[in-house]
Order: sequence, then structure tokens, then C-alpha cells
Amino acid sequence: MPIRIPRGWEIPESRVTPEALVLGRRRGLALGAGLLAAPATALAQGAPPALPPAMRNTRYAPGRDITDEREATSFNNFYEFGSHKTISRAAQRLPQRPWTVKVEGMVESPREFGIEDLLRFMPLEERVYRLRCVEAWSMVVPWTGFPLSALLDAVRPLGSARYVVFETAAIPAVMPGLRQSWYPWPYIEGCTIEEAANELSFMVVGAYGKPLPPQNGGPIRFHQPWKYGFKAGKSIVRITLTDRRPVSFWERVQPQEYGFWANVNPEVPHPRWSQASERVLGTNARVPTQIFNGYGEFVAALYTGLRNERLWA
Amino acid sequence: MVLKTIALVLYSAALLIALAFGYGWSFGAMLFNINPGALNSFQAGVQRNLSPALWDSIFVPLLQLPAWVIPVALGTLFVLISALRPGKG
Repeated sequence: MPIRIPRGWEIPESRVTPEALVLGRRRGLALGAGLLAAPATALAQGAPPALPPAMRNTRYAPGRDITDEREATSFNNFYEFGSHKTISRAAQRLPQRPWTVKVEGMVESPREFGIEDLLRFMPLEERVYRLRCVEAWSMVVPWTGFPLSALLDAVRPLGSARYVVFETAAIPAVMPGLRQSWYPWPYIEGCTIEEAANELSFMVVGAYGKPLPPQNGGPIRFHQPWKYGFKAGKSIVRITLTDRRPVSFWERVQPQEYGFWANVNPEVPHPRWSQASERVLGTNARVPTQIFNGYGEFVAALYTGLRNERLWA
Repeated sequence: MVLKTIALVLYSAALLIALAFGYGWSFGAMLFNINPGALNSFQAGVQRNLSPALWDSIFVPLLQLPAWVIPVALGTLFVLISALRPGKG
């Protein structure tokens, strides 16, 4: 009797995305053309409105309990506000509205999206992802967002585009870290176009069913759960497609320690500490770290054949 | 004599720094240019192990000063100490 092992993308009928959600996404893509002419929705500064409803996508079960919301929103890395973890209060000064994201470079249709338009027209869903920080701690967060590929579809990348670059806002009036003018601001991160197209690459606009708080990178950030957290740009204002590999913020600051790829690997230690295990935020537990942070079935194929690359730093 | 010699060395260093990096370059920018990782690690050490406020209120203003100011200030300090020590210099 033949034994059939389902591949990563094969899922049971019961887990198929509901028709309404699919039609909603198509409607969004169709309306995407309207975004060209429509001005970004401008709201007054202050608290952003509630998120539109988003169904949880159960395809990416984290295998761990969700981190307590208070933990995840009060222990943050956001260098523009300081190199310590208690930046959440300072980050509240970052205005969340109005907010626009430019998507430009090697695309057919460069555009500037208002955050409200993205919330309205992108196919929002909730995904519970593990986040593994390079500092050997982790958390599990229910993010609301949409696949990066949906955003890129709207601008139609040119065939020559090879990399996607994410730029974080740099607002000296509210970001005290920018007083340290010697750092290479703005914060830049990037990935290959193949990594960007991977189904796990996710633009995040919410957490715990609420608008993404500024200390976590609100109103919009990026997340690739198989990479160390510093690869995920926060409070993004510009996405550029290019044929040149970007040199990220941390590559400029500490090139021996932080590289372009930064895929999670427990067997490759950071120069100053082990990556074999991780402290789970909000618990006393220390658990073994998994290669690609446990998402290998979705992403390992991206790296076959890549030689002479520091894939794990 | 020793203190005045040290002061002279510091003044010379200030001149060299100004010529090498420019008069407007901050002390932080100079340190970052020499060794970016060391300055970053120092910042993380102060903010995480001592106090974020200590970094923001003491170290950042110091690092924002023009790079040549630091050796000039130290050199002047040595000159003053030398002048205040009777019978020595």
C-alpha cells in the first residue's frame, strides 16, 4: 500500500479559505486600481480606528501559547526610541495617522498607499507567528495583516527587480534615537524578491485584534517569521524594489554580527552568545530553537544552491 | 611639567581631529567611524544595565559635541590643575 506524505502546501478541504474571503481579496485587487487616483485617506492624529474584521488563518499554527499581550507590547526593540526594551511609552509619540507607504523603484506602477486604503483593500487575515529575536528570546503573536505579495501585485514588479527594501520612518521630533546622528538612519532592511514572494512574508497592521501599537512597529511593519526579528522593519514608510542588494542598518553598524540573510539556526551561534535555545517571553521556559524558527517546510527551498552566503547571520 | 605636556598632546590631538574629520564632526560620529560596533555595544550596555536616562541626558549630549572639543576640554582641565598646584607644573 503506497504511503502518501502530504506536501507543505497541501491542506484538507476543511481548511480551504472561505469563498467570501477570496472574493473579498479579488474585490480588493480590482479596487487597487482605484488607489491610483484616490488620495490617501487622511485622519487626524491620534488613536487609529478599530481594525476591520480578519479571519484567523490556521495554516501556520505556532505550536505554543500566544504570548500575553502586555508582555508583547511592553518588551520591545525599536532603536529609534532607544536600545533598551522599555521604549513603549516613548513610542506613543509616533503619530499613527495620517500614514502613507510609498512602493516604488523597479515596478510598473509606483504608488503611495494611505494606511486606511491598505486596511480597506488588502486581504486582511490573522496569523499566529512565532517571533525569534536574535537576542535569544521569542514570543508568539497573533498578527493581523496581509501577504506582502498582495501589495507587490498591486504595483507589478519589473522582471529585473531582485530585492525588496523596507525603510522605517525617521522623525527626529518624536524619535530620540535619531539624535545619535552617527548611526546610518533611516533603518533599512531588505530581502530577496523570492523571499518577499514567499507565502509567509507578511505585512502587519495589527496585533491581538487591535491596530498595531507604535512600539511594535505600528501602524505597519513587516514580518518574516523564519528570520531573526531585526530583519522585520517597523513603522514602514517606503518599500523599494531594486536590483541591488541593500546594506541594512545592522550590517553597517555591526557587519561581523548581523548580515543580510539572518535565517534562524540554532547551530550557528551569535559571536557573543548561543542561539541553541530561546527564552519564551512571559514564561520561565527556555526551549530549543528550531532551524528556520520551525518554518523550514515553507522556506528551506529558497536557499538550496546558495553558496558562499552567510545564511545564518 | 607632565600635566602641561599632556595638555599639549591633547591640544595637538584636537587639531589633528579637526583636520582629519572636520570641525563639525561630532565626537559620536568620530567614534562610530573608528569602531561602530564598540560605540553601539557601549550604548546598549549603558541603557540596558545602568539607565536609559543616563545615556540620553549625559552621554548623548557629550557625543553630540564636535569631536575636537573633548581633547580641548581635557587639555584645558590639565592646564588648570597644573596652575592650581603650587610649585609644580
